[in-house]
Amino acid sequence: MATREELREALDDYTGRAQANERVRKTLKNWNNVIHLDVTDLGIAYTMTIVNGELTSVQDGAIGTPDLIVQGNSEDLTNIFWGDENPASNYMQGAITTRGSQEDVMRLDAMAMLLYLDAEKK
Amino acid sequence: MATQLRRALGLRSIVSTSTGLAFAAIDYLAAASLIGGVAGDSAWLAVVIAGVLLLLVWGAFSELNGLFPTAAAIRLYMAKAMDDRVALTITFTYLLTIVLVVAADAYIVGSAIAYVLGGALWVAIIFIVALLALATLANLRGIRVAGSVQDIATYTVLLASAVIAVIALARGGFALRTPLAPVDASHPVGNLIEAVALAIFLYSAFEWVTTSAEEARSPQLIPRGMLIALGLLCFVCVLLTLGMSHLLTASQRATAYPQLFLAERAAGGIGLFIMLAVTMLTAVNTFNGAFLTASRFMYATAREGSLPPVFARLNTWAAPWAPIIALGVSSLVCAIVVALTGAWPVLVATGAALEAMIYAVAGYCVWRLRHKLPDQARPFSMPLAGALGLLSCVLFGVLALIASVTVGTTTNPAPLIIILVAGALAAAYVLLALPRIRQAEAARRAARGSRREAARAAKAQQAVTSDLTSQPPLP
Repeated sequence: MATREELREALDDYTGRAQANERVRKTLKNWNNVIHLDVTDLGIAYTMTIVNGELTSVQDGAIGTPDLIVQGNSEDLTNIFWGDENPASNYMQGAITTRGSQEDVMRLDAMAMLLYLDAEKK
Repeated sequence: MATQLRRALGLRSIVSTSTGLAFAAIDYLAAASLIGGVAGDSAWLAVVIAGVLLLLVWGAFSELNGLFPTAAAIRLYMAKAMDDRVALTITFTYLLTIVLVVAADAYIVGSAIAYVLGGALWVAIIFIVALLALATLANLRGIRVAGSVQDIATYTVLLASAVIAVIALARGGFALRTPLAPVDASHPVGNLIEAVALAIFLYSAFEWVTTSAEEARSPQLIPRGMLIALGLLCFVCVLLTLGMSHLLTASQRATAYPQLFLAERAAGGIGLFIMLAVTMLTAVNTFNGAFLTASRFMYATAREGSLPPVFARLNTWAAPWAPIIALGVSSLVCAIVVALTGAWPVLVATGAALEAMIYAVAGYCVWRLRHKLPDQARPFSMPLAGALGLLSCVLFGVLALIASVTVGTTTNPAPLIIILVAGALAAAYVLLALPRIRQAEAARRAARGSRREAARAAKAQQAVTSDLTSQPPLP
């Protein structure tokens, strides 16, 4: 089980990489989304806001009405946001569950994949 | 109370999605084929019996959907109920159904347009190519049919088909000639069983709506929506078989567009054009639903590491281009082969057999998971799941076998051969190629190392350095 601080650190790292990634912004350029991250074992939530493909912020708490809700435990989510685990594998194995449109799920996964591929090149 | 989403599917959209995915243009051909299999106007009986049997399937998919309310459900419940390699082989073979349905719709719509324009086969082929190219391009550009448009399209198709069928029945004064012929002792019972196996195809894909479980306003809406969809499909298909059996000749029923003849006989030239428009509308739903479902599933499977990574690449419109092109090209090849050979009954039989196969698998999964995951919450519980799950498995297994060796009214192993070849290719991929793809991915990940661990180590190093620098200098 990851701590709240570890998860926050992973989210900050992910946000920084997403904001710096031109390919993410280009591929997801028309995507606007509010995502609630529901961390089941810690009982906390975060709100990710994406504007025109750019991950603008990750705030503490479930703020506003979401387009997509992602549920998972702190360990899986921390590893996913560090890029150490494949979110699609977690999803296909039922470790991560979502509520919302499949298009949004695919785009969120694509963001993780593009960041992963980019980090691999460096 | 669970957080509500900004956009969520209500019951109306779930019913329209379930019905729209099932009611493709090929349903008109399947309905016409049924009439040749049983005497007089009694094909409705096969439609109703198939509908009743599908209540077992409805129960199975409702339970599985409740256990795994996700678009990846088919992977989850099959992988948990059986060996993952078997599950993947079945899943990849089942993907063939989507190719067949898209190909069939392109062929039927192309042929229908060519017929109305008075064109020859090559005109139909041009329209088939144009339709599939349009569908592929629209999907590559990430263009989606809005939910409300899909709702209107589905309900218009159902209403227009039912109205045309009722007008056709009215022409004969609503008099049924031999409505119960199959249960008459003078008719072989085998004909009725074959007709029921084929009639399953009329409902096929109604369960694909379970892939929208994550988008539903409430989980209970999916079982309710599927049940209403089954009722609607049964009602419209019964009317169509009755109308066709009253007004169409055997040669008209054997064409690729019996619905056009039905509409023309029922309502003249206006009816013909209305039915042409309705046939084209069915393609909107089929192409939209099939391309979306198949391409997203292939994308997720590739991301999981079970298909080559190229299937997970996105284009600048965030669409997974390789699955879309693969689906477009394979459907085009299949549609042109059918147009040149006129072998659409083989397509119907193959689709019916594959659907019955997946229904048998769903029954098995319900039964198996009741033993493997007895304590997992089941928002929908199939009554007598132990017995009915197994019954469903055996029943649909037998119907799959019958459908796979029956083309029209004759015994023909072509569908079985197609399914076996597809299954063998899928198995070869899963057993020979997939381990190498997974090994390569594991090696890539291992070479990359853990970023989390690296950050942890860097933090520890920073703490040590900071401790050293904060210590007072030695005297």
